[in-house]
Amino acid sequence: MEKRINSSPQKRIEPSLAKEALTADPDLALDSNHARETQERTPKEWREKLRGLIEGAKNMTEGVSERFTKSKNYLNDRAKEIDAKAAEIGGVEKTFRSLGEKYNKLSLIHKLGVGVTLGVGATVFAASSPWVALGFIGSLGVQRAAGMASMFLKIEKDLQEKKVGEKSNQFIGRKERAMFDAMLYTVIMGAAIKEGLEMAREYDVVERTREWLGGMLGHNTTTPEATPLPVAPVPEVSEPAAATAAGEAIASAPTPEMPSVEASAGHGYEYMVKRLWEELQTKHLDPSRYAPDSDVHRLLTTDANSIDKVVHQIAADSSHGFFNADGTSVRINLDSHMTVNADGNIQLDDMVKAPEGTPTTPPYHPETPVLAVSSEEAPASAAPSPPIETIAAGADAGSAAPPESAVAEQSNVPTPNQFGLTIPTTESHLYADPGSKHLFVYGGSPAERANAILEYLTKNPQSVVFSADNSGKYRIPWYLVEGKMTPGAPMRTSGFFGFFSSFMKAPEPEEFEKIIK
Amino acid sequence: MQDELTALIATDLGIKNLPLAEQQTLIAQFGEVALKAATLSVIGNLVADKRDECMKLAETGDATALKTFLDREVPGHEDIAKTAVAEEVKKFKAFQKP
Repeated sequence: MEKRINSSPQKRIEPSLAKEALTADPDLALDSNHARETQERTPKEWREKLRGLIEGAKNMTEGVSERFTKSKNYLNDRAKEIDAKAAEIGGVEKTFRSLGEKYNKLSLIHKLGVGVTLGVGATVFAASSPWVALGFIGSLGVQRAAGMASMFLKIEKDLQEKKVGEKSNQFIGRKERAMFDAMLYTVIMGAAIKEGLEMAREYDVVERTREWLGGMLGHNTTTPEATPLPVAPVPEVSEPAAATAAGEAIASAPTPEMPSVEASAGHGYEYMVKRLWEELQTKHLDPSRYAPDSDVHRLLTTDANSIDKVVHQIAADSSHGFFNADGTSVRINLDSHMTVNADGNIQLDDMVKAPEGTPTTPPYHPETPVLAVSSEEAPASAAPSPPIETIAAGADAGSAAPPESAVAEQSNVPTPNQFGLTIPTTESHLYADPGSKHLFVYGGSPAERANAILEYLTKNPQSVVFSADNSGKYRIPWYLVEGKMTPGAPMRTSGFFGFFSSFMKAPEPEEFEKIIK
Repeated sequence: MQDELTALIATDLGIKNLPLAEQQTLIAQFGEVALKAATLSVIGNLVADKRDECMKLAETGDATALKTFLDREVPGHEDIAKTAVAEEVKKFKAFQKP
């Protein structure tokens, strides 16, 4: 190596330059100085230097520690002062004690959330945009708690009656204002804290807020672990000014290209319509540009909560006729594709309406539930309910092939979860989350899972059981409708007025607190 | 998430240079102070004979009823609560100054 470098005149390093190069390196320079000091200092000087260093470090530690202790004492005293004031007021001591006890029982993450929800820490975002700050706070108080949801609706109604939030110069729209009020008062009285914070943690609210903010400002913020969303969330524009601007932009834009959805094995007409709806969400089309009775208008004005119903109505509509009153559905050829025609109506290949005599799939029978059917076995059908429309009518549960991805998702869970529960992947069981708020089926083959769901729902017809969808990635609910085991649409997070909404992940062992069956 | 929230609040409270564990301890304590201060400030604006009614509503956890009640009895209660929290932040930061 030495020889090779020296053999090149251009790369030769002269001894003097080499020395400068060494001392130019700060670390090496320190070593060099250290060596020189070591040689030059006397033992007494060394002791003094060492003493100085130790005392400096001690002072620094004591300074920080003293500050912490003082701050802690200050807050203790302050809490006592407020308690004393409450006692002076009279009649509120019990509630105050209860409030303090509830708060102190919260975990650290929840306590942090209380601080942010009350407004402490929100100014980081407020510096960039008050709306984002509001969104951040609101997201922590997601309306998952029933009390908060009803409160939100009531406050929104009140605000509507008072005509608040309708002027374009108000940056807080009516919905945002209502949500903010609902969040604030629900949290102040100690309710919904846990729910809100769990949602915030589960759906990476902080990361998503930053991601969204970065997009709004035209640059990307650092979101190294941001999970790509299955479908891009579509902001709900509630600001009148923004809506007007958006409307103008759309009006002046050229006619947009309509999305096209290809048929796929095991999926039917309704599945395709729903995918079409998802595609349309990304186009930001103005519904008012289409006839009110057109399919595209219906899809553009339908939200995630009602899309399944609308999709089924379209399929069953006599102008389409892809779902029949006797429960049969028109079979879809695998080379078909669906789009929206010039009239704004859904068209499968060149058909708006299914021709007479088109082959159909038989209706679904609950006694042969199947979670999934391999693509080789499953006919493309128009059976209702996405994306587990792969539930083939009359198919044998035992012959159903588990989706590979689902199997992959459910492997490698050998150790106990956070609740000390070991979740077997080879056996199908029903589990409940903390508080038994939700039920899940997990493990075993798809047929075993289907049987477990059916058995439970038959005994508990009002219940809902969640499982993974065909892909094994997303969460779907199962209900008993008129004695039939029926899958619902993939669950979505509620997000915050349309922002941050994404599909919920398939149930994971970490969520299960206890085994039900 | 936990560290993110800690960082957000610690910045506001001016305790970012303390070790993380100490930041979290102080934030947890501060939360109780803020929660109580906000509640007390709203209750303090109620006339005496309405406080008992307010406390009973708070005990039931019916946030809608409580909000309706406060809308009627304490005009501007949202701002009162927010101001109370902001005041506690201000006091704590002032205490932090050498």
